[in-house]
Amino acid sequence: MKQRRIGLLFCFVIFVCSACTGSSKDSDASKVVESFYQAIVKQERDQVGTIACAAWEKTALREIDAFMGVKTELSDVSCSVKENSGETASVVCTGKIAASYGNEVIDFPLEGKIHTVVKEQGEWRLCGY
Amino acid sequence: MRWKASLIDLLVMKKPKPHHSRNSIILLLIGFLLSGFSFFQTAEDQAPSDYGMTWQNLPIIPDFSETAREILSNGLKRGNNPKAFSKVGDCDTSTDWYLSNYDLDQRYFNLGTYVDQLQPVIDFFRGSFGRRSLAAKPGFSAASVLSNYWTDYSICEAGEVPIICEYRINNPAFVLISLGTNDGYNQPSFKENLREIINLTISQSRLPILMTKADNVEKNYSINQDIADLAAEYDIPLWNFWAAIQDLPNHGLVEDGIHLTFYKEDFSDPESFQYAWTYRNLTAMQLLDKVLQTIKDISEN
Repeated sequence: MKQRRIGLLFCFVIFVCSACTGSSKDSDASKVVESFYQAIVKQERDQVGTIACAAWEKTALREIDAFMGVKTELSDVSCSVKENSGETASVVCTGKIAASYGNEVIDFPLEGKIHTVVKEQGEWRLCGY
Repeated sequence: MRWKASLIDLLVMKKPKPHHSRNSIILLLIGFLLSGFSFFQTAEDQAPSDYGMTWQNLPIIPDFSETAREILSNGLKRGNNPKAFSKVGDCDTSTDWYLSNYDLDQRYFNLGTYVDQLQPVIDFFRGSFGRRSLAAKPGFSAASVLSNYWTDYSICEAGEVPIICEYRINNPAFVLISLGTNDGYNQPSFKENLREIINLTISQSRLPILMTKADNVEKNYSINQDIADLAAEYDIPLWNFWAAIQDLPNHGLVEDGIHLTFYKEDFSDPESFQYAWTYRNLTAMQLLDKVLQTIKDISEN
């Protein structure tokens, strides 16, 4: 009886741990997308290597450069994983980039974009949207 | 045949045999001849950027090369609108101060002594002057023109970047491209992105016309150098606006060192020639006159 209880406890611990790991993987996938938007507003081109997949790196740099002439800030940006197949995930975000030039402010809502995130060498990398 | 053997020794990285002074002389002679050849080759095939700052001496209004005529001509054959041009650029392009008045009535401009030259330009390109380009917005860098984020999806189709959307909707024969001021912080990517813009434009047989910018935010004129280099590389027209305003007070710039000094659009008023916007519009119109003559010439032949 005691052995059975220990076995059940063991299974429960394993289950909780695996759930934690799964959630952490998901959060890593969504975090890399949030990092991309941070890189845009902070104009951190040197971060692209840890954010974008190799095939999308050039485009990622261009998207960061596309905002270099305006002041930008993130407003309530939050991303979450919509689908995760282990090696590929779809991430959606809410919130917006607010870009201003002089008195003119232009909002770039992030809703509606489905970000493709892939695993490269064990790390999640943004690979387009 | 000894010199050949020496050369082979050299090529396979063998140590040359000693005591062969004649071989050494032959090698020196070959080296001298090769260096002479490379000197002449360098003078002929020099990359545009190697010429240093000569872009500053280029004419304000360029002559159109055979390449430029060919792009225009091919575009007209495939249905590009000869009466339409697009503006691509930042705040100095999207503003109503840039050419827009010529689509209004004559209360808004005075061509002064240029009327005979420029009135036909207004008549021919009517509708393009005041048109709001989808590829010109305040704060635009060269990358913005190629970025989905800046696409106006109320007009454009999914997947279109601003410049592609602008070309599809306006169908211009040629394009006035004035970029670079907002690229001061990342110059290497500017050249790459401008190259992409040129490639896209030429691939649709639309003639890109590049403009040197008035400011020097990057401190070393490297962006104007890039613009001039690309114009030379692609053999496309370079409108050297920078040269047009160098004699003006503060080189035609307001206190921020970026924006142009403004005066009402009146070429009959001598005072207007102390302000940069007068030259921006006047030289743009002279450039358009040149395009008009080229289009007429192509159409007649």
